[in-house]
Amino acid sequence: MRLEKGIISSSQLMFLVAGYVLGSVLVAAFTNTVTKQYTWLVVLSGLAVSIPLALVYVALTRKFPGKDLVQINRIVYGPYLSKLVSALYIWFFCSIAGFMLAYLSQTIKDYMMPETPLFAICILFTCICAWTVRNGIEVLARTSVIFVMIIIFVILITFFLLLKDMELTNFLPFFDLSLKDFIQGTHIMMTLPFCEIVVFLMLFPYVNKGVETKKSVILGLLIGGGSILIDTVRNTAVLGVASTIMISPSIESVRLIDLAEIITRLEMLVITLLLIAMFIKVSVMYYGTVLGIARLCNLRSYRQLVLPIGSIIVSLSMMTFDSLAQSNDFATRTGPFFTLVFEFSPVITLLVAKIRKLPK
Amino acid sequence: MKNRIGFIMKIMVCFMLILPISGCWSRHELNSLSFVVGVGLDKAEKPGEIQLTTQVVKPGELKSSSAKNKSSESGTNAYWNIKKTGYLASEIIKDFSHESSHKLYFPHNQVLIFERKLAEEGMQPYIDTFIRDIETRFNVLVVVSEDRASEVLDVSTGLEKLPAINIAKLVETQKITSESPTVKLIDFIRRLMSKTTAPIAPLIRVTGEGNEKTLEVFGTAVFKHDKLVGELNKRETRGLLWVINEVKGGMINVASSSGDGTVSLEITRAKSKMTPVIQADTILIKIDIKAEGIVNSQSGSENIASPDIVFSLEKKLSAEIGKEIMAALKTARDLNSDIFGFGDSIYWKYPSEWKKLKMKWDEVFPDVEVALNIDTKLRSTGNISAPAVPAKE
Amino acid sequence: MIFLLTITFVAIGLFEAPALVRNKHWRELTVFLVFFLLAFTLALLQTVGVKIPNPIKGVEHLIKDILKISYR
Repeated sequence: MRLEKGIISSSQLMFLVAGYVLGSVLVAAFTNTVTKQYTWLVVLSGLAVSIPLALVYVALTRKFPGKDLVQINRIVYGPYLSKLVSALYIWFFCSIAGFMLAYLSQTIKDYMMPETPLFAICILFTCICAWTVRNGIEVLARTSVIFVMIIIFVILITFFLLLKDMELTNFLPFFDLSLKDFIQGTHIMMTLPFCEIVVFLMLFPYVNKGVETKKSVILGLLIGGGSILIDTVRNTAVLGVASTIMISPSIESVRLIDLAEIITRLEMLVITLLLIAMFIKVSVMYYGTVLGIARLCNLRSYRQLVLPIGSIIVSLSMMTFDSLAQSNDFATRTGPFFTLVFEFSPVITLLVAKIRKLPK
Repeated sequence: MKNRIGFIMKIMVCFMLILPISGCWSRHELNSLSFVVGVGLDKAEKPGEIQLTTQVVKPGELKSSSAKNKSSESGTNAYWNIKKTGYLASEIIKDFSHESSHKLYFPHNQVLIFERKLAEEGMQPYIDTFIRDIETRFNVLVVVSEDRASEVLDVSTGLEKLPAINIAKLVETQKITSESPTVKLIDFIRRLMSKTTAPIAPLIRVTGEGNEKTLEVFGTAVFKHDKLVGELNKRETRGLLWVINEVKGGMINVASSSGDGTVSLEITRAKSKMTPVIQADTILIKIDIKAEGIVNSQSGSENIASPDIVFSLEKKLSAEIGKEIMAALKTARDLNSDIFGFGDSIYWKYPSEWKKLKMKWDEVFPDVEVALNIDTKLRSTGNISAPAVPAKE
Repeated sequence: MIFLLTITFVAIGLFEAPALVRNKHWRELTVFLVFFLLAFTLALLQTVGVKIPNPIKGVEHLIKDILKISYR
């Protein structure tokens, strides 16, 4: 039974995935402290590792057409275990939504509005997300098409405007990275921007042509990953060693744009970018949470749950991390393991489904 | 009917949404901000204290008729220098609210001036505020001044109404002669963060007396980590800039080959490349420089348009460039600070050997050998070929 | 602050509940009420200032100390 009457086309799915991945374009920058000038390498390797995982997600949804994650869990794991697993997933989506919201409001508060209390930004932002989620997936997909084009356009423009400030020597020496740092970097890159598309397992049933899901997801991942790569390359080339100490290198490198003293102060563009991309990410996570709960409790429609869940997400974002330093610490050290569990489980689900020869 | 009302409501809501876009919680009204254009740090009398001077724009005075009000005694300046003393830059900045009715607004800051005596004690404690604070930008120019920064910020010249903007443009204009580097905060930070490369900054001083005060940029300040250890004069600075690929222009005089006066050659383009080579027990740095120039003037009367003479002039030019570089190298060796970035270039090419060298760089650096390879071309001789003298029979 | 909070939540309740009651969607109503009350309590506790134990901290503790798998 469909919880949602909307249908999205596969190209809209591609843009939705790309926008979702781009939501972490600024958050991914904190791997700079770990990987120093090799972040671009780690982006590439993270992308390489994520593509097989994405293929697993698509295979899982192809095996059970028209069913979302909670239903798949129910078929594969039986009625009781699946409730636990699905509840854990829903909690995961909810926490990540809160985490992203916290990051966004913290950045806006630091750079634009230092005196505004955090919850005001959170609440305003969540209101918009709630309105979008309430109106259904079609709205989300359509807006993401436009937003992704804007985001990519801005990333490319800032890249070209900074070409004259780039120094290739900032990338040397090649391959001086220790294996441990490389693995840690790849792990962070894989789990943070790329594999959070596990939430799309809740949304795949609403794509109209199921056969084209694979192409859309891979293309979306590549577009998103490519943009993150361009962004990272630009930051490392312009800021050099200094990018390892910065909290938000994208904003700082765009601050340096100064073309004939007319085109300056473009960092507002980057912050707007963050806003738009994070909007897509939080909305999709929010939507996944709401759909999951509705499916778990066998409800007829998810719309009524939107507002309470929104309030819970706001509360979560307020109490999760007290400071950006703490959230950075979590995200580089323990976060990857925590998210890896959830992002890897669909592989286990697929294996169990294959062994049990489901669906019969 | 209902449709129309709905439609009008939607349009109205759209318009109303535009109103809060400029933000209302953290709003800074324009007339409650004072724009800081220059910051100077000096040593204060009490040990450990510094004096911070910020130059703030008085927008109303900017529109006054001409900038040449040096002659008028009580000519209202378009700026106001506020000075305060304290231990840390950050608390002094907040202290300014005791004197200034407007909140200081830093994003338009153009220069950061450090007094030489303060720089000799170490810049790290004071420069951190300007890196960490969110309002300050990284393309601020860093300058070291011989005299007190508050004096330097008080010298108004004929061309600009605001001394800070004057200083900023002055430092940028050094590219014409390439005898002083242009150092932005981000470049300074990059050198500070490197373990071996030494930061540099242009030096500035006040010349003249009374109403005739002007500023002069001369040479470079050389640091070791964050303490000032020495300086390079103009010629040595250009040698340094040749090596780090920052020469954009300049004038070099060579003796004319027939001994008849000197020829002034103007550099139009320069490119340099540093390649380290680790040999058995020494380190060799190969520096390749390609320069292009044109003849600007000659004080003799021979016809320099012949290829042989041009060739010999090119060789003389290469020799001069070599001399400038060696002069810079000698001073750097005496001061034992790696301003050229030799250490970093070794790190880029030989990362594994660098790990061993890093610790002893202070001993290794003075023994580093340098091999120069300079290639110059004189593209043109200017407007005329032979000088404006009667033709030789 | 608490006043504003209560007003907001009452507004949310009034916005959603009548449609549910009218259509006799009892199941949805119960789930809605559960989450509504959960959200309300969380928000109330936060406004009052009670420090709620953070589940993510618990997870971090679990991963770092008990399982001892974490980078550095």
